[in-house]
Amino acid sequence: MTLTRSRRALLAAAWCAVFVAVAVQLLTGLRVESDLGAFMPRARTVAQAMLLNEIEAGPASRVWLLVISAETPSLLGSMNQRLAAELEASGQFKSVYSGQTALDDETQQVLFRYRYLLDPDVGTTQFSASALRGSLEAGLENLLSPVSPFEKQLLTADPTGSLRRIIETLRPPNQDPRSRDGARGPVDESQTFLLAESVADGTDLAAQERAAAVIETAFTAISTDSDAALVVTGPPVFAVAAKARIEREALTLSVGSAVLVICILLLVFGSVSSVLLISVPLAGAILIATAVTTLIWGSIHGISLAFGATLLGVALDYPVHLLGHARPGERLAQSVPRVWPTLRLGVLTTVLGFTAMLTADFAGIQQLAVFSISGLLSAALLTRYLLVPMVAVPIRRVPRLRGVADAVGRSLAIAWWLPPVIIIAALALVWQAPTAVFASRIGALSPVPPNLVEQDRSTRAAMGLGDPGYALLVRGATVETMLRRQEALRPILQQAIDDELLRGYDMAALVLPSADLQRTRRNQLPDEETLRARIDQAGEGLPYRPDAFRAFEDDVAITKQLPELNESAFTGTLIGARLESLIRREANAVVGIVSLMGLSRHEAFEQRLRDMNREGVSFIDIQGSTSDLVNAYRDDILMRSTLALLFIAAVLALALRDRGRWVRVLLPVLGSVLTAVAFPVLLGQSLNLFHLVSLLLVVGIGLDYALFFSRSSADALELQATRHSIFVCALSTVTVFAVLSLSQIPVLSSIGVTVATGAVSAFLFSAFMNRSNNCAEAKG
Amino acid sequence: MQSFAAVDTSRVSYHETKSIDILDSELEQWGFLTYVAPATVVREIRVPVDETYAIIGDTLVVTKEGEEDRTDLDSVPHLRAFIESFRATLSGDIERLEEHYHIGFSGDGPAWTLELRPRSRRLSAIIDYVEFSGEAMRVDRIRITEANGDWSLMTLTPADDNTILDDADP
Repeated sequence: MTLTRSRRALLAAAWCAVFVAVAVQLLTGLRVESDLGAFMPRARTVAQAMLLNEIEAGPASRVWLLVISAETPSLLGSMNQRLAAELEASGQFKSVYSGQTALDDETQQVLFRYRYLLDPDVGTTQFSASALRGSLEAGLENLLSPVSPFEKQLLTADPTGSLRRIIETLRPPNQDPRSRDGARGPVDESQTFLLAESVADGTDLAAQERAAAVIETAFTAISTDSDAALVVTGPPVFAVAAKARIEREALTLSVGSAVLVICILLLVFGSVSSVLLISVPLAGAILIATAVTTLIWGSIHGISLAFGATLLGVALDYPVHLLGHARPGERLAQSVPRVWPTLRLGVLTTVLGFTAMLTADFAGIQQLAVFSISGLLSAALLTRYLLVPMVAVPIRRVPRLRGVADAVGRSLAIAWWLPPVIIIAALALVWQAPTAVFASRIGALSPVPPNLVEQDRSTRAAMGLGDPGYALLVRGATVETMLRRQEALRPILQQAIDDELLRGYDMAALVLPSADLQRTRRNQLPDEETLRARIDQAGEGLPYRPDAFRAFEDDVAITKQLPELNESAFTGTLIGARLESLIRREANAVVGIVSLMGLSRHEAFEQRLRDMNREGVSFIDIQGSTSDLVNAYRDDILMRSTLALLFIAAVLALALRDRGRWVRVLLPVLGSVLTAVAFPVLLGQSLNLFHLVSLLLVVGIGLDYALFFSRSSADALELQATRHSIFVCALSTVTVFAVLSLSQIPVLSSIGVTVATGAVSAFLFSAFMNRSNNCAEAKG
Repeated sequence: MQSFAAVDTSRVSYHETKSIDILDSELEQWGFLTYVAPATVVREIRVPVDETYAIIGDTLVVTKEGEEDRTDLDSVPHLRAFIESFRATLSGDIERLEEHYHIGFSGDGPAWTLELRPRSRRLSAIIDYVEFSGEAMRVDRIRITEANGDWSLMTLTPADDNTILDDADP
């Protein structure tokens, strides 16, 4: 593989052209996604789908929670109003619920027009003469009120108080009507709450950052000259905080570890050009892997990019092996036959490990797998077919730190007891704490700072907005069927409230009666003449003029001609948003969610439901469902990893055809995986998804080290070179991942801890298993 | 009018006549009005029913037959503006009055009249004007004229049960 000067130049130029083309394509068209949902498991049941949907793009993920507190509570009400107005005017928020906010005018008009179809009391005796008499007497009393000018019009058009009743039933169940000022929240006078739903999706972080800026500016504007303080929390805050934190830490940590690795390489190889050469395959691999991923998905997830680039750090090992094994006076091409077969086997088996993730259940992990596979393959190919031909001049010096590597090898030979002790300790640790090992909370994967999570939890609790925890799903072929089934549930739910099993509930049928029920009510309305006669009878002896209630009579007559109201009447209003969150659609069914507030004994409640045997109704435990989901997902990844390991073992057996060496390769790999599982547990971390994926990298590293260490060679110089190059690889890998483990972000630090531990133990165990090689050499 | 600002607490009895278009006859009532600086106004109706309407800060509390019903004034801006016509007048808060009303003031010796016309279209669709009249530090009459011609007239006299609430009073 010796090339002429001109052909080398051509080759280099061709590669450069490819890199530039890829880089240009990426720079112009690269879309980096930041939706955490891609790394959440894909749901297996409808209930799960709804729960996850809720996490990803549902209304909940767009809601900002704002708490204003002040020493002087008298100002809070107006500050709350002004802040709400500022936020509404900004255009960043589609609705601002300030607790005090009444229904918007448009919605009130719809409710007013349809009041006799929506009012739950229509159909009782409210239009009888005696009931009307009561209404008229009450109306007369209301006219005494100092605020009667504001209520008079409603009295004449709606003497039976239908609108008021409807608005009462529409009050969100979490809102206690008796709480301070009718506003949401506890009686704590020193704080007031706001809920603001952003226009942008919770996953649109750029827009959420703008929304955050709007909130800050608005609060600064309204809080001048006051001691008021604002606390902002909610899912968008998390998303923005996580993004800022990932960006900040990813930058400092990657720059930090890159500097350290460059120092190590400079120390070892002693020249800037060597370090540059070593970095060529890695840089190329990241470019190509990004391009391949983008080609398949049209975009790349931020976590795939960050995590993937870290995974590819191991690609640095390939050129290191090559340079490390080249002897002085030798061209790289001459050392290739000694190094390449081992390297190739290492790369292929590592790639095999990642293929297990190709068919994983969700896009994020698939992306990571594609990114890693294409990156590792291109790094190896670039090393072999770009680096080797490019470096035509013979290697001049022996790399440094060989003495140190030898010393480490010798001390390992003396400390032969260390690996078994570590393995036994690790086994004991994992064995003893099997349940706590894996986090079943989705939250454990979150890059959100824990203090923010705690703040959110306490704010929600204070606002009475805590997770419902339990819900009923009511299915029907159409919205109408679903609503009828929900209406049939009302007695059961009311009974549960009366029996103090349940504090409250919310469902679509509370807002929108079924067309069937609306028709029934419409049919029960008296005709014009009957109604007029009854009003006349009811008003006898009262000072009302004869035509005082003409508006009421007309409206009842009009209602008899009205079509039934459906959910489209509320599109774009607060109630519409509430209906949207309560009605979901499946392929061929409509699912209505009945959220259950303050369910105390859910087994008893479930039992009642079962006894009633209502068609299309199922009970879900939301917390339970999410942990089931994460557990199922963990089992899936574990199974895949195990399969991958078995597959790798089989391939190794075929390739090595040497049972002794097969054992000496596999045992260190398994040992380092075990240690990499045990050490985070020792540190008190619970294992999450990213630990598991990191283990694949540990397998790759372990294979690399073990394959090189286990090569039998009579050549002492070669053994020394091997030990040295693995030592350098391990040193740089451990440095990178130890830096990463310092991260405050759980995801990054778990990757760091796992891989750093894995790399150290892979080196230790491989050296131990193949110590005969070391000893033989060390003596000689 | 600023001199009202000095008043901490006052209690008067009132008599009100109301004319409403849907009724054949006028409605009469009497009771007590209490003002506690800076933000509390209470109307206790004694005849023909026993009911209390209290504005406490940002809340309207209506008490009927022992049942309390609260309305947040922030949720009904024009109602708030209406209520400020009383409260801001009694507390001498001209700035706040100006915010909601065009103010007309005329005086002849110690007698004076204060006329408030709503600025917001929403309120002026309901209330035409509110007129306070009195002498020196005393408000004698409050007349509300509604946009549809309905009106009410309230005459105030020093509380005849002699209960003048004062900070110093137990």
